Amino acid sequence: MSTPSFGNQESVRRWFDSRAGLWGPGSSDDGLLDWLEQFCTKVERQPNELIDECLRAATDSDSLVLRTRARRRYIDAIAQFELDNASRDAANVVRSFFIHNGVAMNPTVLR
Amino acid sequence: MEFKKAVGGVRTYQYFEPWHPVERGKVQTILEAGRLASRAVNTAFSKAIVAYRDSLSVEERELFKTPLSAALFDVAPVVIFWYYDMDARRQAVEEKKWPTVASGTLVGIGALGPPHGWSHRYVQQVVLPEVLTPGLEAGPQRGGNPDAGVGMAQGLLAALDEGLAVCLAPFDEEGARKVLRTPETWEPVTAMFVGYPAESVEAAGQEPRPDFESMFFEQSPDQPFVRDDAVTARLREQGLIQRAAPVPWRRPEARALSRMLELPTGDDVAGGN
Amino acid sequence: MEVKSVIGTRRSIRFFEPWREVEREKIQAILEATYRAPRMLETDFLRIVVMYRDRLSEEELATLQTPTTTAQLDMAPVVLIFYAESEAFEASKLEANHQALMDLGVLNPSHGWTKERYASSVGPYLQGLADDADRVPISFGRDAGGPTVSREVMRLARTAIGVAQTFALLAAVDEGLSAQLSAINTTTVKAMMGIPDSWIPSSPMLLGYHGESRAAGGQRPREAFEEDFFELRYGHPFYREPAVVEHLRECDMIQPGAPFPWRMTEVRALARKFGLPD
Repeated sequence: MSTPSFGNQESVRRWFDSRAGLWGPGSSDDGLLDWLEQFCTKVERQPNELIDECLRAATDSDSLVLRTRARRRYIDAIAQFELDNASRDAANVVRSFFIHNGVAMNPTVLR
Repeated sequence: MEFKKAVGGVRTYQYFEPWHPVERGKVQTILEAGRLASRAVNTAFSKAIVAYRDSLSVEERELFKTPLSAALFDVAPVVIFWYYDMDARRQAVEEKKWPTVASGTLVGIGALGPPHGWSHRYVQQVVLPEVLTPGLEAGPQRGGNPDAGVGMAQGLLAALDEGLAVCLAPFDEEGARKVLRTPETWEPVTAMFVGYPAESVEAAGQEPRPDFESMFFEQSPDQPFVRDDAVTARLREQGLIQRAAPVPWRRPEARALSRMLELPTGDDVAGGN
Repeated sequence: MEVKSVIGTRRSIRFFEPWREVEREKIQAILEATYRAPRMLETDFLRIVVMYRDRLSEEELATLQTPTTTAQLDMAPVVLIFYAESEAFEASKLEANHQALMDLGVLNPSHGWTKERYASSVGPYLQGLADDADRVPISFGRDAGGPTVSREVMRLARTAIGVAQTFALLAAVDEGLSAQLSAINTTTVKAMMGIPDSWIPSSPMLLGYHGESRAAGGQRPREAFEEDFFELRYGHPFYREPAVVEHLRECDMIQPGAPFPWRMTEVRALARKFGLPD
């Protein structure tokens, strides 16, 4: 099966749907996709792969099991992405993608 | 009533006016306060049943009594039996009952959200199975829950605010089950005796506690939180710190109240005080 | 503040101003309120360790986080960590406490409080609770396997903590602060701070100046009143008189419910304020 185009991947659609559900229609735009795509290029993964690495389907139910090492790896990668781009906003776009897909994470708050 | 005065007014009230009914609206206010209390994952752990002295037979009152609460059941016009529902977490998680974290409500209303790492998917597919579900297979577990105490205590402060006297004491669980027909999954928290005080509002005075510095610490248990005298002076002015027990008139007052309520005065009890 | 208004204004606040310290005198006022909280069976269970976030290293702070408490710990400048000292429920200590109350006229012969009756009735009742063979560990998770207490003592200890937490939460509101009972990695705290094995851990209270509006989107929803409260027996709901509800609204105890129409806009703005994702 071929990989769906970047914006049509299930994890990306879920991200946008979840954002629309919480923040209302029009809360997401192509600018978000641009930052996510840059991050994906940097870590050489597709969006679905990022989520699949962090959340494993449980064998006995339809729930998910958090893979803490994978999550930690991406938390660190996003922190580096923030430094590389000198942009908290850019990194938060990527964090938002993970969070709406069920992978909780937070940066340190800005003081 | 000012909050600090209500806190300062906490006493182990013992003498109520048994003939003076408590207005139903005041009882409701106590319950409303309990309902608004903080609770983990917004789950309804705290439950209560209100009973009235005059609606209980003497035999029923006997069933409630423990060595620490016997006479209280005879003098307090209202008793609120507070419970912890040991099945509440299961109902919240499996039945998605009530507006809780498990039902998705807290994310939906913006109490918890992406700024803290939370989303609907995180709740339903990670928090529920990994945090809230483990342990449920063991069934209801006795051993208390702080949240049941949180709800009850908020009700207690509301009672004081309503000008009522309150006392907490244990009740007999099996006896109460017979009378109140409580579910097996409810574990007692405490009985709250409520009524108009027959004694002075000061009662015996503010009751003793261990040294402040033996209970409160800064950063580690070997660093006592040393009280600032200027703060205690402010709190005294504001009514949180009040005259310590015993007030000088306590003994004659207690004897007079005992006579009034037809309770033993102690004069005829060996070793009385 | 008035009691009803304090109760009505309390919210589980999750955004604190991380740059604003809490005055020590306000922390003391909160502790003093818990100091006056009623005790369970006159047992001095309560212990609180006040933890100042800025006295911890970044690494230490990170290890305190749990899957459900992350940004809050980063934002709250103060954390009150609640414990119950299980060894407080000892026959000699309870007898001393009850005797002190008898000596002061708090507990009187009118209600059966005499030395003789204590020895024959109250003391054995309390001892029975302590000696209950059904025992549970004081700590769970990685600390399990340590000392145990009877399940009855655990019940009393947890209730006592809950009572103190109420007094602390409301005292914080009364002092113009905000608070939330949250979660913390108690295993890490125990090792980091040298918490005794006999202390039963509970939820910590995060404390600070509110970084969100104090209304925090409105009073949080509850199940129906009639599901929680009953009259005379279980199954017979306590009828909720609308006039009383209206009175409590006027007194500020029952406040507009969540979510306010602008809540989601506020949350996104808060995300920007603190540099958090949305």
